[in-house]
Amino acid sequence: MSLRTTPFHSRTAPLSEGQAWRRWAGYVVASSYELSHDREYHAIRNSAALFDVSPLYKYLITGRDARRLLDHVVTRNVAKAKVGQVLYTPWCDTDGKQIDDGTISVLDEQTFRMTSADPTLRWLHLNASGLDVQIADVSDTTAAVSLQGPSAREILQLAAERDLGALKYFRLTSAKIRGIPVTISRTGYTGDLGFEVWVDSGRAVALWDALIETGTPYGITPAGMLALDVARIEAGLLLIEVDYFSSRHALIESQKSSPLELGLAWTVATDKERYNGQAALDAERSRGPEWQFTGLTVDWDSLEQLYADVGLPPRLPTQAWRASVPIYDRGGRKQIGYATSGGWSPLLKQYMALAHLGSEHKPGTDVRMELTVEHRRKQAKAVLTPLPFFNPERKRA
Amino acid sequence: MKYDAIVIGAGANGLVTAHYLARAGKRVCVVEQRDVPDTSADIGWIPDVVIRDLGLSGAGLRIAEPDPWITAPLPAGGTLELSRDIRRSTEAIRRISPRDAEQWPEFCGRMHTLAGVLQRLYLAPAPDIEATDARELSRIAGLGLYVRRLGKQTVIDLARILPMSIAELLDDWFENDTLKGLLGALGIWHLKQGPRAGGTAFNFLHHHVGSRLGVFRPARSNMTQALSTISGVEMRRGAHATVLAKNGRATGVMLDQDGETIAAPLVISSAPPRATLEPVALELDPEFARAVRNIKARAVVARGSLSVGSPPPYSTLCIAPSLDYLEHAYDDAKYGHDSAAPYVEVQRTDGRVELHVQYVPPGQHEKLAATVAQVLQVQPSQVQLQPAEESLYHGELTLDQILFMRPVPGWSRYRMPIEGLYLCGSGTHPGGGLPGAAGRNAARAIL
Repeated sequence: MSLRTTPFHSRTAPLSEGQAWRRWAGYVVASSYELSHDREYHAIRNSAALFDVSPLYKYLITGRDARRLLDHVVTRNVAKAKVGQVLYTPWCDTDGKQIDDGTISVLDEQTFRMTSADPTLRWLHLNASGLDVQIADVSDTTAAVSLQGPSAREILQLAAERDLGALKYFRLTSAKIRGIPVTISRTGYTGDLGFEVWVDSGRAVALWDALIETGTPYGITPAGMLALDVARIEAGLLLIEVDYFSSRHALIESQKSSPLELGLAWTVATDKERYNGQAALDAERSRGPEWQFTGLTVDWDSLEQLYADVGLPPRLPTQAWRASVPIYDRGGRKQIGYATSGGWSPLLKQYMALAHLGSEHKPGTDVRMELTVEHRRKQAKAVLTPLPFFNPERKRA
Repeated sequence: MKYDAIVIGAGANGLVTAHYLARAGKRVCVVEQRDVPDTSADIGWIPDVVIRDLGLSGAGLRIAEPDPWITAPLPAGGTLELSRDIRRSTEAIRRISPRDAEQWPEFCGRMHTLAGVLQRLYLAPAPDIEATDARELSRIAGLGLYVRRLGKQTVIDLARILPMSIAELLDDWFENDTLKGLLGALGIWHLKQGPRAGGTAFNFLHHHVGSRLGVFRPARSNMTQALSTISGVEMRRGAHATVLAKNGRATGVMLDQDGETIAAPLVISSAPPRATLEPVALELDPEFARAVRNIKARAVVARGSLSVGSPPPYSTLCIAPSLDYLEHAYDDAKYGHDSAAPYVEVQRTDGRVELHVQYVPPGQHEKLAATVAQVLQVQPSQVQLQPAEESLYHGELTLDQILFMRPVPGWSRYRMPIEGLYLCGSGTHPGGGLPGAAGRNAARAIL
């Protein structure tokens, strides 16, 4: 079976200069359109980048018990969510280990859209036993683009011919763009001012054209996954199968993580009805999680010295990396954790990494990160840095 | 009144659990949906230890031991009658098949040995295959050693016969259709399977557990009635109870009639696992809830009674003339219809004449009474039947639903994933047709 193309493919394919495509949930999407992702990245932080995020799994949950079902499945309090709200939330198995994370949009009192990174239909059905609820997989029929960057709001306001100033962070509204009915949510995966636009697949191309046309004077730039990866590390946002493993795919217990270990304690509600994993999470919260998910900033002088020792100027990763890298204590002997993503932030001018460390280590602590310099294993100094690395005021303003 | 435990269901297993708990000093309330005690016979072997522990003999327990234990019409007229005495049975069989008569004593011996192995397995919780603690491992080792001491033939028989079909097993031993029919009927007892389905030989042995050598029909008793006369537990009749649970803990039951709730830290249900757990599905791991929902518990039996002027001349009459007859009867049920020619057994116990009719899947039963009447050559008005909506054993005794897989794999220890909630009915190990065995095991797990 070959990979499928998204509803925007007729527009994104001609933009690809190097045919750099990658797989995402059975679809092909662009890694980068230009030969290097630099310009696409800078569009996120300086103008507006347009991502095709259609491969996300999307489910429409409707009916009298729709709210009850979702409240039972995820760790956030869905019972209290207001119409027009979007919740970012993980969900767990009975042992409180994270299965996946995604968003829940409250479209009306009995209509919810859930997005996920992995297929979730079976899990929803399993949990819906005895409930008055309909669950539809709308992954193929709903297309989505993400417009991210400081100019995103201006472009979208022009395209939708309405003021979006009142649309707060993690809220949504329905709108029309050139007569095409869309849902606009103020959400994204970049930690910047940004929106996601949800549209019927059949109208996807027309939406793309409208956004490109309106956005061109503002520097709108189609961007791929490489640029997104840098931005999401700056924003300290988790990626499944990279920064954590779904408890369903973990082969051994130690590969599983709880939301409390992943820096998502804020998403685990303490004021809600029974939900999957509640007992385990309550217990973990009271005894304190074993792990933390934190940022690391690699010390420049230390990096420079390691390369100087072999007669080279410091080398920096040209793309964000996704690998498991050992982290040691400042003595360099005892391993205290591992980093799972990292890369150079062109904006912050720092080498950052996302890491799992024992929860006892405090921000500001000196650690050592393994690094290969000219084929040899070295250790660079790094400092525990609270996430996110980058958190502009405009994200929420 | 504050209770330590509430038991749902006043059948044999529910009452056995309740009385064991009461004897351990717990204040127990039994909630039963029927207004009056069930007077139909309890079918199956009652563990001696239960009779002893609860003093059932003193409570008026009567176990019927009819002799001959079965009567089957012969195609050429007359009947085949099998007795408790092996020699008399052998002589009776010799009249229809000298070859089968030669086989009979050895067949009886081999089956009795195998049922003995099951009996030992049934008097304790199912072996825990995930066990790592020394006590459980040594128990499993002990079982293995016990089987080995029974000899090579038993080890081979166990491995070979349990997954076999009862038809293959009987064809292996006997030639006479009447004999194979009446034995084969025990292999499909309460199963939605025909005699040619794998695992029916196990079912045959399951229902042989506790029987005497050479008797292949379970005992019949007034066990539930006897239990009802013992004091020590409080009874609430005429009330259907639903389990209540909150935050992973059982809190009591709600009586459906008026919404009254009875609180207790322990709730033990002898009702079917599915019916017990469905109302608290949101408290359960979704995968566990799915497994419970998928328990195979298809109804195939109608029980009832036969109105007769004078007691019939037999104690147990079996209409299952051949294995083919049973297989054809199953064919109808496979497609959702009552058997056109059903397997019918008439049981005379304590002056009552009761019926077991199989296969009767859920659906319309307009012709059923007439069909049974025709088979028995009586008037349809004499036949009263209550077709079941679900397996009367709360889960069929197929190989995938026994031992550590009963009621669902990994949860055979009576304790459910909700704290304080236990099962004790025939949906749990060792299953139906052994009144009190599951109830006792459950009580021991709780105490």
